[in-house]
Amino acid sequence: MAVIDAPLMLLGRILPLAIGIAMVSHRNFTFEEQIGGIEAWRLSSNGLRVLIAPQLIAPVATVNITYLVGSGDEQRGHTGATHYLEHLLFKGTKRFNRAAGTDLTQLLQRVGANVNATTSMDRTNYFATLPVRHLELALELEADRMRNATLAEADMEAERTVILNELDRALNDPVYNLFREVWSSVFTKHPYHHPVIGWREDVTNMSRADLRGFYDRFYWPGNATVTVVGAVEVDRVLSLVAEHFGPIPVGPAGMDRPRTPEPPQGSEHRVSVTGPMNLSVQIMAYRVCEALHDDAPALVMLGRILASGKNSRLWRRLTDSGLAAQVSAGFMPLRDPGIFSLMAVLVPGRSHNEVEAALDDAVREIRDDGPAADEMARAKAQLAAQEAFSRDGPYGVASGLNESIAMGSWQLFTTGREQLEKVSCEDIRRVAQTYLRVGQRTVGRLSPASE
Amino acid sequence: MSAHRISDRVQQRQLGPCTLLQLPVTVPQVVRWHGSFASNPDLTNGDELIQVVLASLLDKGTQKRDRFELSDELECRGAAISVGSAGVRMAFMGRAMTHDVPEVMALMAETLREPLLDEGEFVKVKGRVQASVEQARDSTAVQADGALCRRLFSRSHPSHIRSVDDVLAALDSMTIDAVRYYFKRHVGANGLTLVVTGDISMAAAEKAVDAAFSDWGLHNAVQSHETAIKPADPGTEHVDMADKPALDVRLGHTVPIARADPNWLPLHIGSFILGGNFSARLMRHIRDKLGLTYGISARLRGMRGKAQGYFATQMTLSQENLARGINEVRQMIRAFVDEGCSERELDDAKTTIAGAYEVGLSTTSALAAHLHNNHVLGFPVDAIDTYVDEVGDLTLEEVRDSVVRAIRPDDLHTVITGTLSSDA
Repeated sequence: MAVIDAPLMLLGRILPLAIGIAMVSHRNFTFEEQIGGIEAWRLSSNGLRVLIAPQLIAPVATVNITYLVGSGDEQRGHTGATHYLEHLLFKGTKRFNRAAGTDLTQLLQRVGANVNATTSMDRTNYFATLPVRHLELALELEADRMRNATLAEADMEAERTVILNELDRALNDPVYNLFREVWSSVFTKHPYHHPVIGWREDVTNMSRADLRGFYDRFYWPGNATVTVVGAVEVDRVLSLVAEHFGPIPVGPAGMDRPRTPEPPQGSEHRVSVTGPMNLSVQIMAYRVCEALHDDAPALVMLGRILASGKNSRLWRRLTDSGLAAQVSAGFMPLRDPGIFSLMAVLVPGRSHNEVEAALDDAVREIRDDGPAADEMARAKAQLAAQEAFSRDGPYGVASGLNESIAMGSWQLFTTGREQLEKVSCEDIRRVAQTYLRVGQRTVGRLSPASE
Repeated sequence: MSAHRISDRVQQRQLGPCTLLQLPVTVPQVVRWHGSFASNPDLTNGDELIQVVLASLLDKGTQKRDRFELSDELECRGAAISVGSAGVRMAFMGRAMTHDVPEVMALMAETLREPLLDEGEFVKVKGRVQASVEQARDSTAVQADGALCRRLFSRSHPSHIRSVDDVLAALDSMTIDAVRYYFKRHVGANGLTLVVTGDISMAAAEKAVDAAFSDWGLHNAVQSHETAIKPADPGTEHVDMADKPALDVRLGHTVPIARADPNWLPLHIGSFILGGNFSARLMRHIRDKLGLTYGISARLRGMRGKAQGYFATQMTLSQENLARGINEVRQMIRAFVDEGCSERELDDAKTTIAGAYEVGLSTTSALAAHLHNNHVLGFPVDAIDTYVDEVGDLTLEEVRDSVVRAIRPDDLHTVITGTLSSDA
């Protein structure tokens, strides 16, 4: 039960599979497509999508359900509802609950499952990795809580304290605070403005009716994707999904998702955070496009060229020169236009101005000249290896698919590598010139209060 | 597990000083390895910090190639190697595509055996370690763990954690000559163990490892650290940290048991029943029923190799819940020792631990790590398979007895980190 907020979001996780599997037919499902070893099916009775990726490393499977609802779907005054609801969905249903000694966590953890959930800006997901002999248990429990969560008042009050404690813990982290300030400055109208966990006042005032309304609006088969990865047979997975999810009704027609577009920025934003810590951090966040935009692959590659490995530009310019202890850069692929950020943790004694100048130089270079051919080759080789290593275990595959679903296309998980291979040096230069501009960035600085 | 014994597929070879274990796993093109050797730092001399700096310096160039050439060799293959300080050992890990294993294993050996140890790099590494230590200074969780371990362990025990100020002062006075001397005295093939898993044959793994490590010499440093623990008088300590309203709390005491001790497993299961996961007693009562914390756990810690360790609970509490939270946890621990666990709780814990163990073996990296750790502990290769049976065979009496003997509510130390209000 965790918040995947801006600072923690995986960057550019677009990884294909290459596992040969045989497609079968099933009377309760419509077959949609098979790409990169992943089969996509649609449950005929209610439109639930099912992705299946057999993998034979160990007798283990991961079951993940992704709901297309995140903090980006919350309105002001009700921020944190998605995350709050995610917590309450572990509190039980009429069938499976603590009073009966059968609540979901208890049942799944009893068989050794890694079970948890995360909430982000565009999606909420619940997952369990468990011995494959218990696959049906995981599917049965997920199906049950899709429409039968109790959302009891007493559970809600107990969980409010837990969430406020979680919020306090996050606020203890100065780097988290810096990211939050930057994020809220980049987005002033769009709901990405508010933290995934919500503003403290909204969490404090959240009512049961608020959460019930959220649940009844978004938790339906048509807004969900069940993903099963591991030592499984497709036909058996489909049969189990049909048995447990099949009886759930379709739900209300249409799903209203008003999201206020972010207006053009116009000029540079600057924010600063201070605290009683001997830690200085610099962030430069540029407004960029959404995950499915044609420029997205070039932005993923740009992040790698700038800051992946000790031969990357930012490492050489900042870390190797003793300006920064850590550097990172990356595109945050989201359903709506997001950010491309550069971050540096300063070596004690170095100034923000020095680091900002070095970051600016690195940006100017890539905008003016683009990357060298060997930088591109290295970045592409790294992605090939990443593709192979991403198959090491069912959770990694399920997690990658979950993020692609949130971005708006599960297929991105399998086709993304091909898109990245097509990116040219000129593409990198073009997107750098298009997006890495002073007028559409927010600069954030974390400094010790003593400075 | 018995129907699909992992150990039946493990092959073992002795290549000079290196014990090689190899396990084939069908993940196309993926090969990983975990290895380590005994470095035997003198902990009273502050060697553990020198070892941390040395580990960070090893991939900053070798006698044959500078740091950029070394990085380039790895990055152009999408491969990775790393070296870390692991208490009284130094650990190393790597991953490569199958066809790149010979070259990447050779680079692994080159970093360990022929590092450049350049002074300019040393200064940069010191700066980075300093920054990370400063960052840790701001973490209530890190400060709480450190304060508890300083209360429980002497400087010469591997579980002792030095204070931030101590570490910074030692960093400040550390020289490159001290690091070079440590490398000569403590880096070698003593107790060298290497496990290779993934899409690779034994012949290919053996060839790569033989070329890389079979002629590596030994160092002369001998073990000097304490493995046993000494009792310390319980007490309460508050580490004041500004602007940290969420408090981190630890309750803990030493336990004179090492990982390879037969009493470890029943006590591990007993601790798990008390605070091992979301379904454990502490989580269900303190978090779920009372809503006092986001998370609470209890477990055995610090039992690495032959070293004895400690039992500790960890949680975060708000100011208003501090006293009540600590009191509730103490009562629960006492009740657990007095009344013991039930047959149902034990069965649940066994099922959980056995299932989690299977889940934990579902990647090539995890398999390599398990096989490596078992070998270092002196366990036979088939321990990776027999663990589940050993868990299943435990009786209620064995678990209860281990808890009564080892967990002592009156000996619990309390550490609180954060900003205490006057009310709290």
